[in-house]
Amino acid sequence: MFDTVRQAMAWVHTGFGLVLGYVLMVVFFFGTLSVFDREIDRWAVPETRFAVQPMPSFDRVLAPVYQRLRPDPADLERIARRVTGELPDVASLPLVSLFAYTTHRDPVLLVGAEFGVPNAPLDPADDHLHAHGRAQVDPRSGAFLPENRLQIGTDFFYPMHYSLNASPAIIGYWVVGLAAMSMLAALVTGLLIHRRLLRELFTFRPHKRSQRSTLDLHNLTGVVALPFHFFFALTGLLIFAAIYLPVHDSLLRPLDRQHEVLEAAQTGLPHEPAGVPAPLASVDAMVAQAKARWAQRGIPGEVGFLTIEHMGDLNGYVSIFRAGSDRVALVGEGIHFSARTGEILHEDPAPSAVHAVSEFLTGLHLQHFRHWLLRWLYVLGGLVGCVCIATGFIFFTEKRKRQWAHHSPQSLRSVDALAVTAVTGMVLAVLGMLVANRVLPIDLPARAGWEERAFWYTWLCALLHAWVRSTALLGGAVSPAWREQCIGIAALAVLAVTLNWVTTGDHLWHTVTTGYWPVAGVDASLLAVAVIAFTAAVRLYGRGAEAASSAVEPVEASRG
Amino acid sequence: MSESPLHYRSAAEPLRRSALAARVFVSLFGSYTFVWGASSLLIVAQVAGGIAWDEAWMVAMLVAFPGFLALFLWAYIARSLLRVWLCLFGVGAASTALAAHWQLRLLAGG
Repeated sequence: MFDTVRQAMAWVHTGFGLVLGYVLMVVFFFGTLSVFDREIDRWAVPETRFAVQPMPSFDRVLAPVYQRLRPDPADLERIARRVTGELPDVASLPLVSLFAYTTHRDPVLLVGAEFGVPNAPLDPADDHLHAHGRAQVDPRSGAFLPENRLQIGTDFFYPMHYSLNASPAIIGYWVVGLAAMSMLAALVTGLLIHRRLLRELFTFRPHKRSQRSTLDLHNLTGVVALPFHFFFALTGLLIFAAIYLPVHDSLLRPLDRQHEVLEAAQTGLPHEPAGVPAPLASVDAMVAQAKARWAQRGIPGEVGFLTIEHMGDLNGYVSIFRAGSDRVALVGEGIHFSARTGEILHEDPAPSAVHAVSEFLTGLHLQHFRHWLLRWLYVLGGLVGCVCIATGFIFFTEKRKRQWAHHSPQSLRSVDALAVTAVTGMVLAVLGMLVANRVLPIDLPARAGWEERAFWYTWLCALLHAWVRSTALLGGAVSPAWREQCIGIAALAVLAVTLNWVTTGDHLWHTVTTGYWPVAGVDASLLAVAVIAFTAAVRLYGRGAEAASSAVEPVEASRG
Repeated sequence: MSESPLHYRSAAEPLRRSALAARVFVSLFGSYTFVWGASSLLIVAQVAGGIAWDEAWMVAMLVAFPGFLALFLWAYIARSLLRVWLCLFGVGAASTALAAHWQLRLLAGG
């Protein structure tokens, strides 16, 4: 079977790359879009096109917001299946904990809460019986964002890159996890099967036969961005380590529990509520005190994350975390106050070496720091990854085209149709969703659902189109689906920009001259995509015509 | 040598296919079992040595994923498939049991 290590590694590289490469393509592409998820949100939800806001006053703005916040109906349904008896009226469920989260790129504020459920659980060990609710809030007024607005960047593209928006999400997590592991394996095996690394770093022969130049590009992108790809696949796994390797929640649960109780004793932050009602002191005063403490320590900053545990209870406490806009690690430097008195209970110590390493790794992946050039380099790295995966597919089909055309034509067509769907089809799906976002009536019930359907159905159409057109492969040609979908991309991208102009009045000239970069950036990127796709289509048509004219000449002519 | 169905140099086509399937299976589930047990044991050993729980957990996770990658690749490189099965599932099960037992003693003692 495998005579040498290289053979074994080549099998792993091709086998896992082929099966999970499609998933990897999705992960890399939507991960790349997630770098600008907030900006895509502004484009998709024009009501939120206003300046970035700091964390608003809790006492004046947020306290009434939490009184109006209700549990998510879908979550309540899930809870209802886990308890005995009927759930009481939604409005009567007590709010037991809450959070508010913002970054330096957010005009709107994300708020969320856990609501207590009085019913007894069916399974006595089921001790996390809370209904969750969350909402986007205009921090200037405290108004909720209308419910049928989908923040396409943060609520669809971002979760797509780690859960595939699968239902239940846990299936998506595991498929993506396996794909990330395959990426790591593909990088290592790729290194092992190619011995002339340094040469490959400088080798790209675009004018050679397409099979040769595709492999050059595959090796070049794989090697040049190897640290980037390895880092993101590995840190992606680490961020979800608790899901992929839940030893703390199963085998080692007793030790984990013991630690929770010990930690509560050490920090003075109560693990359980006292069961005695107590009022809430001024949270604004605590925020002012936290900011003063940070300034004293030489790290003045804004509030990024605010939580209250055991709300309305004697044991309640408020935790205030500093936003990490000026460094790699995310929110940190937490200061915890008694909710009743406003006294400081505990101040987080400086992170240990292990924690600092972990914060650095996850922070570099999630990149909430303020640095726009680096942000664009992330995009570049992600796209290079996409090129690496896509050229892998193309090389695979190009290499096997002649052989497979005879003995397994359907396999050849499937691989190529899926590759087209995973590359140009995915871009089409994104653009279809953006177009739907602009043309669907604003008060359409369940509008978000229709936007998501536009995404999936566009993608499905792209798959069908790619399959139907792949018959050309059997004659040795490149599937015309590639160039046709490129034309589709160019058309839809221009349409999306035009629709944004027509429906909101924010045309590119206006957003650029007024310096409103979130929308200007999305529009400009869409136009750039249109230009690139159109150029690619023109070249593919040229090559198609060339192949058609050389087909009548002797076969020798095609050997470059 | 090529008689054993577990040996990956067997010549017949059906055997090769099943041997390959066995390798894919053990490369994923065997490595997972190994990493599950080894990281549990690593956490318990650190906690027993006085390191804080969350720090111990984090160290184990930092090692676990590169560890899985190495074991996963080894499952294809190793000559004897039998050895891969025994090592990955065997060490995985043994370290899981040891971690569970050590945890009980720790909780009883502390």
